[in-house]
Amino acid sequence: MVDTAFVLLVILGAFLGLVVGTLPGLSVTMATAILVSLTYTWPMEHAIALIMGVYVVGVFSGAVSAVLINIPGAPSSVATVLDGYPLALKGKASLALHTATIYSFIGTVVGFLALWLFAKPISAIAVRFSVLDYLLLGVLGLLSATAVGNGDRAKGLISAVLGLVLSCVGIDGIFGTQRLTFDANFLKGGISTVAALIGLFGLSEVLWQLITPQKKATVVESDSGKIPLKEILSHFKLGISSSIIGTVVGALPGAGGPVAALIAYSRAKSSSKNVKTPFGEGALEGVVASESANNACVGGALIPMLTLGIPGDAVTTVVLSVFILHGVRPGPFMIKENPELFSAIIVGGFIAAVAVLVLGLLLNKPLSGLLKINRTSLLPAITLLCIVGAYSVQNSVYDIWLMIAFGAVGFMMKRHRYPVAPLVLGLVLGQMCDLNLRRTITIWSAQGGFLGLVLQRPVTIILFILIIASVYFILKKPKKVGD
Amino acid sequence: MKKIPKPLPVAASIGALLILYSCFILKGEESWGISPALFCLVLGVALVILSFLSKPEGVTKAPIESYKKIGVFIGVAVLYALFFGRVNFVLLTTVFLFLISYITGKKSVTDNLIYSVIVSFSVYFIFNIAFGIGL
Repeated sequence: MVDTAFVLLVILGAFLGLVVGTLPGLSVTMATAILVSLTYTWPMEHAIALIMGVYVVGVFSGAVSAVLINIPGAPSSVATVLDGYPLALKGKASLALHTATIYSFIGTVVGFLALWLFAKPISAIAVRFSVLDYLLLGVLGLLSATAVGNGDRAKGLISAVLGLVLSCVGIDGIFGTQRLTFDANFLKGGISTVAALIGLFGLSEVLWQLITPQKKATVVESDSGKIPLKEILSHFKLGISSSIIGTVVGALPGAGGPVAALIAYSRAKSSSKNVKTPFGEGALEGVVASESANNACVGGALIPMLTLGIPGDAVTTVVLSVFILHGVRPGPFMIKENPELFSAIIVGGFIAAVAVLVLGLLLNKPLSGLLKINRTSLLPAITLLCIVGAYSVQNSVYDIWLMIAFGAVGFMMKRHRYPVAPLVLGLVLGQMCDLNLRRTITIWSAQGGFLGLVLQRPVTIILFILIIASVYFILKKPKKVGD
Repeated sequence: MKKIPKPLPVAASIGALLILYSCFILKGEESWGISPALFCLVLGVALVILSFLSKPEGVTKAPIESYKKIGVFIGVAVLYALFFGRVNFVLLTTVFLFLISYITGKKSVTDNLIYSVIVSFSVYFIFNIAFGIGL
């Protein structure tokens, strides 16, 4: 399974992740969405290797611009800015970047260890799930994606429901009748998830960059000081606890790196009593908490995706589509039926963690040069990759149209502050929710009682309680985590 | 800063249309519980309810030039898709990239041309050789 090509592809992905993560405006989701379409002819392990490299290193490298130009390269580095940049202004950019590197490595390792340890037991429980449990799981995934997000939660729910509506387009899974196709041939095959992903995360981002003036950021040069390992590792305990927070938050569908990093940051702020420098003014603890949590989130987000078929964040939604494109449906049976794929993800994650450490420590100084690239010069090439990427999955020009349409939709959603991730989650989970809703109703009418269907299964009761908790969080007034 | 209304009526309209569509399919169905229209009906009702729950919130109005830029950009992309597969890939892509580069802010004709030719050839060779995708 792990051959030279596999290792080399993780490293290649790591370099790509370093570029997209470092440059503000280019996102890991965008890069992985394009890569899915380009690698679908490859053996699945190789596609996974490349994407793991981009994912893990891309999340880490958001810290580079956060520290050197005060702009997070990736959304998950939003909390790193708070102390990373003040550290750089004090001439300690190198210390901040080395700390970010080491704790991103630790966070990644903790996240993937959790995935390795917990995925199999969770799968073992999930194989006993009933159709009602799967329906509840789908609903829970969509609700929690909305519950943890900032802003108007009704908009998040609208976005999720629109995703579910789009998933209905095509041939119905039970009767084979057409739904929402309006007799158009091109709609009979349904909405291509990959084309939608590339449009929503790739082209929409390009359109957004077109109207967003590029800030002239002053790049703080990274000093080439020695690595003060003793000082960095003195925060090891905080790194581990933040990594655990990151893993748990990552496992919540829709939460993702930014939420994990902000929660870990605010926890570090409230629990650290004797800090040398106050938080917000260059506390190393802030960088430790943020960076270990956001990278731990990667492994955490893969847990529900691999065991239940519910993606933990936008990138894992893309990873899910890699599996589907290769004819593998993630879920309770996946690990048992395809152990080699599970191993590929774990090994790929650990190799990518090492790549974070090596690239972060060795390329500390040259990385500041990367920030001087004018990102507008990359936009035409990214647009071309979006178009060719959408086309290449099915060699279909229709997918290009679809991708452009989703690009425009994604742009409008962003403009009107509708989150895009719930829409994608709805599109992915729609079929599961639809089929299991109708199967549940069939069983319910055959057995003659809904309450009996719920009360005889503890798992169902737990899922109901979790759904009620999610609804409570959605109705509760959102609170800014960083405050 | 001018405020423009957010498009909640869009969600409500989609919801209402879905309900109508579902009722049209459900008409004459005996077992509504497993009907393909049931899920659409549920979603339609959910959309209508949710469109009333969202709090009014405006967005900053962007200058008209920004929208023009987006419109021209999408127009060029649509034209590219229209000719995709009918015209030689490298030639079509070079023209496309040249125009897109101009829209994104690169004004020098020579630079744009060099950039477009290099990227077109690179993508052509990378896709054909590394990814095995015929363009």
